[in-house]
Amino acid sequence: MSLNTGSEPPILQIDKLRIGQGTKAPIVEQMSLEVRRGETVGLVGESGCGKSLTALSVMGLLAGNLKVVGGTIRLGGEEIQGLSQRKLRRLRGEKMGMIFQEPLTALNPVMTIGAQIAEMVRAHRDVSRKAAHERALELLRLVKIPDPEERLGEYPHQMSGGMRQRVVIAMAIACNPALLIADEPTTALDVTVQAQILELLASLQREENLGLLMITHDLDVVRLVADRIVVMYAGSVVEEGAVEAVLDNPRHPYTLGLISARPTGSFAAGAPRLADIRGSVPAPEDRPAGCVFRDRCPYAQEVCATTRPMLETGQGGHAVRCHFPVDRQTDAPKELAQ
Amino acid sequence: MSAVLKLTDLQVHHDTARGALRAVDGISLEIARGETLGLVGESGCGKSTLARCVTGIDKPNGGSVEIEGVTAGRGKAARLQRARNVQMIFQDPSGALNPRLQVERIITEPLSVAGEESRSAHRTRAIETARKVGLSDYHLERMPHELSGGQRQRVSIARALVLNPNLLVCDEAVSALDVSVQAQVLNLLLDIQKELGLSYLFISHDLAVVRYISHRIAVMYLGRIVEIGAAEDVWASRLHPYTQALIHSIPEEAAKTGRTVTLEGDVPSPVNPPSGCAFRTRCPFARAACAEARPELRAVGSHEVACHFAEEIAAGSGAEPERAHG
Repeated sequence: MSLNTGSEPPILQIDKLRIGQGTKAPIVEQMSLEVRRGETVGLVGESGCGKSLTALSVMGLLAGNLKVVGGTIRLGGEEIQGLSQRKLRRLRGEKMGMIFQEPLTALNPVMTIGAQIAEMVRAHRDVSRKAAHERALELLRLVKIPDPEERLGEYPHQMSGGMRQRVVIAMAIACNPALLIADEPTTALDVTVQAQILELLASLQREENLGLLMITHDLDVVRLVADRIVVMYAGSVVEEGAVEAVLDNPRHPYTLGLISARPTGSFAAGAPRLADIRGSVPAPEDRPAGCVFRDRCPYAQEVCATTRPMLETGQGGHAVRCHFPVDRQTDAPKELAQ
Repeated sequence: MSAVLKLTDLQVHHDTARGALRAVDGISLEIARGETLGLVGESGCGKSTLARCVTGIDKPNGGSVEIEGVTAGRGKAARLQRARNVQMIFQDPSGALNPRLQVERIITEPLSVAGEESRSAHRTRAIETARKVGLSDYHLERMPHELSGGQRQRVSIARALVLNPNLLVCDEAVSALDVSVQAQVLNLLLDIQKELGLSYLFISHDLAVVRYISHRIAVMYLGRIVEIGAAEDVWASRLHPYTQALIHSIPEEAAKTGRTVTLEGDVPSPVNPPSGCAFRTRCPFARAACAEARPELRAVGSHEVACHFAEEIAAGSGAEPERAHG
């Protein structure tokens, strides 16, 4: 957990972020999130909930007609919206780095690994080619790539998926950023390689005292690496808090649904049917009025259709956006299946 | 009862510039009626190639594929016969469905290919099959892009069911789906198995999913089966060091043990696999003997494993040596 915060502002502070697409319904709204130095925050939710868009807006990388139309994004206390492209480019890389899901598309196929990392270093630091090359070598060691001298001269296609992801991580931390955003960094990898990359990220986060925002759909990954968890549904936060508090005692029916939907045990050996969540995530323009989860929620009542619940913070910073928060002690998770 | 599927010493080799790649290197297995065999292993281990041989998309270089006791042959009649018995569901339902066809046409296309029944009978079969997978008449008139990911996967399943096959090959069939939708599709697969007595060859990299849905589990490494047995047996008394590493790498398991990394490095190239035991280069228990002789699958305890030192590993109560890593 973050103990070293003191009066230092969070390295990342998103407040009431709203991301719109032309004249259509906003895709992300009322999105607030904080990441402090030395802390790993797991941002979870299903596809289409807006978690990747939130990350891209922090990086200033929203594409097409997607735009931040409301709210604030502060990096180390400084508002980043309205900054010139030039200033933003400096921030990317120097104060924050990003790791993407598919390392192959994040790397240039016709440049050697060494040249790509050195380019990144020289874009941000006024150093000689030789110094940049040495920094590249040092970074490959830092991300524990075996035989780093040889690897510098290789092209991405010569490496395995796990090694490529290590290179992407090396580039993201090349200029000692304070914030690292990892968007599904292990989803495309095999389970044994996923374990290696997760361990690498956790150790870098500790050693470099990074703020790490880990975006994933996998609650077990969050339990393994994160201090705090933020659960998004249909464009906003529905629950957040310390990882154990939220995963062991989920208050929002959606969080409970996500936990219960994961298979455990063997059906043939007597494990129960899976508790699925009925329906699917609505498109932004089809989100219901009131609580956006209500038409998939087994606990929905009349008020849920008319009044949008606020994100209410309870004990220990455990916050939930629900009129009728679940209490696992009294409600059986089975009910969700009905 | 006879096996729905029987593979005997199946071999699939691809010629590459660097030599023969043994994608599947001598696999024998059976799937009984109403049974689910889960197939796990890392990418490049040959599990998809195996699936493609079972459905007839790829041709094996050696060994045989028997379906319902009949050796799968070549020629149109044999292909159609196989299609009636074996159908496949793919990972990405968007890529597997023709975007220009209405759902009804997609579901009934196998009937046309098989030359079955009249057009009017097709509609009845489409409605019938759609209901089995939880789709309504409304969905039959939609185009694939109008459906959600979960609904599209239901369409894939309906298309696979329309010829009343005995065996469904599910290649990462739920991997691209969100967890809430994945649960819906897994429940559906369990329901239709019970209703229709189907057998599944269920391939996935997600071990928790495979454990949940399978009666038996086979673990593949570099084209060979290294461990096979009843799902809970393999899970609880895993003997092969590779199976142990796979299970320990799952974040859920790692969160329990507090140890994440259990296996260094990547799967070696199948073009030039290590001598003896193919896993020895990553194995924490490897010794000189492992480089010399290739371990064959043999019964140890309750199931089968291909490891020279399975008994020792079992006697060590599954405990692995502590590995130093940075």
